[in-house]
Amino acid sequence: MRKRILLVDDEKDFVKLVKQRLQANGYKVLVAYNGDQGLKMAKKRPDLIILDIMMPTLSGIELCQLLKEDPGLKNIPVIFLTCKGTKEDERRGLAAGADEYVAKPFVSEELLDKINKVLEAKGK
Amino acid sequence: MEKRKLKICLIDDSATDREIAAESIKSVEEFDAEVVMASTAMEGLQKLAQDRFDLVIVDYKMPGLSGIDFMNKFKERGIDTPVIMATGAGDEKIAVEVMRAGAYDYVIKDEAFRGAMSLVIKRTLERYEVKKERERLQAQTREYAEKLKKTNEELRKISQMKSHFVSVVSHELRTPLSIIKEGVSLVLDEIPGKINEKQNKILKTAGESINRLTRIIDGLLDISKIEAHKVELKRGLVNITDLVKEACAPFKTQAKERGLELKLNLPQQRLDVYADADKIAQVFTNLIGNALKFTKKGYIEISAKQLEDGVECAVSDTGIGISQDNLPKLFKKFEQFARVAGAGEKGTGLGLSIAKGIVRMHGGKIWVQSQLNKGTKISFILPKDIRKR
Repeated sequence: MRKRILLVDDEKDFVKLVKQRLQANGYKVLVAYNGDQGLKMAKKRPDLIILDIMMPTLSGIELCQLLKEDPGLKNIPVIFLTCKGTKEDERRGLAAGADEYVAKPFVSEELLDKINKVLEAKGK
Repeated sequence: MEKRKLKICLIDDSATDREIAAESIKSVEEFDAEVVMASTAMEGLQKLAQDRFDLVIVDYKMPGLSGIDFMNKFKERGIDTPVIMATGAGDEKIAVEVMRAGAYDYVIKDEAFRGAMSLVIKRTLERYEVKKERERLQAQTREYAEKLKKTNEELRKISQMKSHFVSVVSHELRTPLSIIKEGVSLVLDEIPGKINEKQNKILKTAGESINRLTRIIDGLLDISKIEAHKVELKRGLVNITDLVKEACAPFKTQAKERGLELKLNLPQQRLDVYADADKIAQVFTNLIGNALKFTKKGYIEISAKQLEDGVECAVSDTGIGISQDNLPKLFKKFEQFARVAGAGEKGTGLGLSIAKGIVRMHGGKIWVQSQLNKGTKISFILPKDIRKR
């Protein structure tokens, strides 16, 4: 069965392109354009959630923390895909509970590798 | 010597005493004194209201309003003129009372009156001048303090704006850039459909520029933060040997492809410094990347050695070198004076500025030695323990 990835990012054009990439690599893609929508869509229990950080109202970091607090959702792996690209930002992201961190602009191979890695780890 | 012009208000109910006092004043050689007389405290106050005086001499004991009463009214009106009180008795209690009332000095009406008057006037005028000067300096200090406060407030606002700018630029530039990059990448990977060779070449060129733009943005943000002193060093014990090996790793392939040797000259024993590992790694990355860019044949050598109070590192190459004229410009932003760069990534013009900024933040120093067509060596020292700064 195809793995489902939830993509949460307020930049619609970006979401369109990444969705194409993910679909071309065999994933089913759910989208949300802000933190609140993301939280709702997460209840559909995707296999992986890719989060932007800088979003209005609810940031990616806050959303990640909420997901990790929810017993039903905390085991869904999270990858941050964000413009915040310093090592310090990465540390903060991982500390919030994310499994991987990718900075924008991103290299598609890096993102796909990390998705693979995280899904494999979850499978075990 | 020119006589100092003085306008003195003399207040005394006794006409005789007034005459004696006036005569004493006029006999003082240094002064060209104009004495205006009043026989009561109220008359004196009236005269003072009408004109500007340099000095007031008032009798202590007067019928109606006494000298002390005069002082109180005088102070109420805020007149800024020094007052000398003339007293008939040499009682210490009176002296204290007089000074407390606000007089600058007092003079005793006795045989020594004449001589004493001259001395007391001079002393009083001197004291008054000192007081005025002190007040002027205090006012000036207050003014400067106000200006300083305002300037500091402005600087704080500018600093805040800079931070905000840095974070806004980071997001606003990277977002569209990430869309462009992924868009080009999708087409190159033929996900929306096949492309021909020409289309492929064009998009590859565009892709390289996207990467270069990303590096420039990263560099600009780094240097902005360094210059705005917004960088906080995450200090820890860093093993330089390990760090150098890690920093070199990404360059091995490129060096090999271009037939260049990547040499390491590191001592056997541990080389430790108390520094920010990520930032020092960035210094090495920038220096090695730069060396590779400007070397067509030969080698790039990275070395490190222990000094008494720190570690000295260097990246040297057998590249095109830098002329003596251009050496001072080396660490400046955006100065790319070498026209003939080697193959590989195009630079941002910021790598060396950033390296310098980082080394300086660690309390170290960085310098360059170079010879045209022979090679370049960029060295830097990291103090052993920057906590000791």
